[in-house]
Amino acid sequence: MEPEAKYTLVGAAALLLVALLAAALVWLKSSGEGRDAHRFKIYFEKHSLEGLEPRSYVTMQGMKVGSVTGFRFSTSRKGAVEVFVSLDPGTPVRQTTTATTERHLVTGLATVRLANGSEDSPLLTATPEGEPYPVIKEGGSPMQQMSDTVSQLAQHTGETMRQITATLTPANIAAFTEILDNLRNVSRRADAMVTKADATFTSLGGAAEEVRALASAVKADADTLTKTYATLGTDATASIGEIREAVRKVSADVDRLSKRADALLASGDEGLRDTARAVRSAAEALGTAAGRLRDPREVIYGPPEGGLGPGEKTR
Amino acid sequence: MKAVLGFLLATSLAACAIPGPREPERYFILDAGIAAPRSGAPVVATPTTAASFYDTQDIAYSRAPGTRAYYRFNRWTERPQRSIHGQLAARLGGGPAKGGLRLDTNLDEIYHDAPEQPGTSRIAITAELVDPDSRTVLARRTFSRSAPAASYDAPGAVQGFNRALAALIGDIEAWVAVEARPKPR
Repeated sequence: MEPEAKYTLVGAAALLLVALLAAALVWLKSSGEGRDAHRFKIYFEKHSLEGLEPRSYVTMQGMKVGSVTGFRFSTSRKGAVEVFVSLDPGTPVRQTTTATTERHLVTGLATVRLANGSEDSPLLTATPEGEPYPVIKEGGSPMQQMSDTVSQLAQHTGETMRQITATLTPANIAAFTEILDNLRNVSRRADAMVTKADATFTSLGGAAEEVRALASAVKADADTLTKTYATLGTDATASIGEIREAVRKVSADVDRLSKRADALLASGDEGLRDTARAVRSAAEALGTAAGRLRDPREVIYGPPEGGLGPGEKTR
Repeated sequence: MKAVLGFLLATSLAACAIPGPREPERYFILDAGIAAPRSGAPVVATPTTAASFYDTQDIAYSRAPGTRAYYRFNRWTERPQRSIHGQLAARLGGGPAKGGLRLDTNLDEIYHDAPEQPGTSRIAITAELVDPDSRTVLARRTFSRSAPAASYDAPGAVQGFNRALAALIGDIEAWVAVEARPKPR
């Protein structure tokens, strides 16, 4: 039997596809590279450019305002990368505007983020001598921010242990609550633990001399941690992978520290033991959170077929 | 026309590459069914430590001798050494060790040995009985127990773990009762 061809349908579908292709071409062509687009140059020295590509988005206050048109190693500034961006005409790039990079956790694709230091600052229009375009300043390193959080975490661990050494004065309640808050911010799993810790504080009594000595040893560990992580901010070229590694190390160290506290305080006051367990629980939550970041691809695609356990299926 | 057909084919193939629904994650409780303390030995069980590979909520298995891996969609509700310590303390009593002995335990292994179906659930724990006053180890022993997995998967393995752990805690309890008894001079 002769097949009945639906020429109208086929033709309409073909036309639609052609129109879509044309629209895509126009969109790609016009994305940040129109005739009226303003071009700027950024020297990146502190930020990792991992995941940055030509046509990567440039954003300001969360909105896409342009795209990356190219980048290259700088010949004039050692260790820097010159990134060229093309921005929409209405973008308020000011003399106080700074540029940073942001990386999507799962896809790893990077964007350039512009932020204005002051809205009263004049617009950036002047082109420095020897430069083809106006130059936007580079912003602070994201590693510095991470380092602040981490060193704060370690410092608070040390502070908590100091307070334990001081035979559990009421001041330790504030210190301990603070460290729990820090851990909660990182792990997002400490609500139950905070409740437990609050209940524990009501039962805390005096500590034996032996426990003080043991807590002092733990304090020394905490101080070492503080010193270690305070140096993280000096690393200006850290990538997201390195940040994850830092989180993992913090998790492992805090875990080790809390285990030691747990073991040392095992023969002490019951309230102290509960406190040590709370620290440990927080460290485990942190470790679990860090562990989930090991391979973001698995979040989307699941584990490889060969990596499944007996009876497990991806369906 | 060829380009359009090629585009359609590529689109169809791309659609096939989108991952489908995944098996949901399940969490299991390691529970030997310890009801009440039995031992009258003046022993306090300190928190159980664990070999680093097993110090995780992931359930371990082995498909070939000398190898270990983790289940991907099946986990413990808490790290196994914590469950084990809770149940040891429940059986032996977890009170202060005033004048009593201390029981230190380390989880050496806990994995589903699965080179063939349905496999075996294996647990090994090293226990040390310590006199806290003299800081001497009075006795040390490694306990191993295994039980057949009920099925060739994580739920079946967990059933085996629970049975093996119950037997193993019984072994430790009996050993402690003998070792903690005052020795004739």
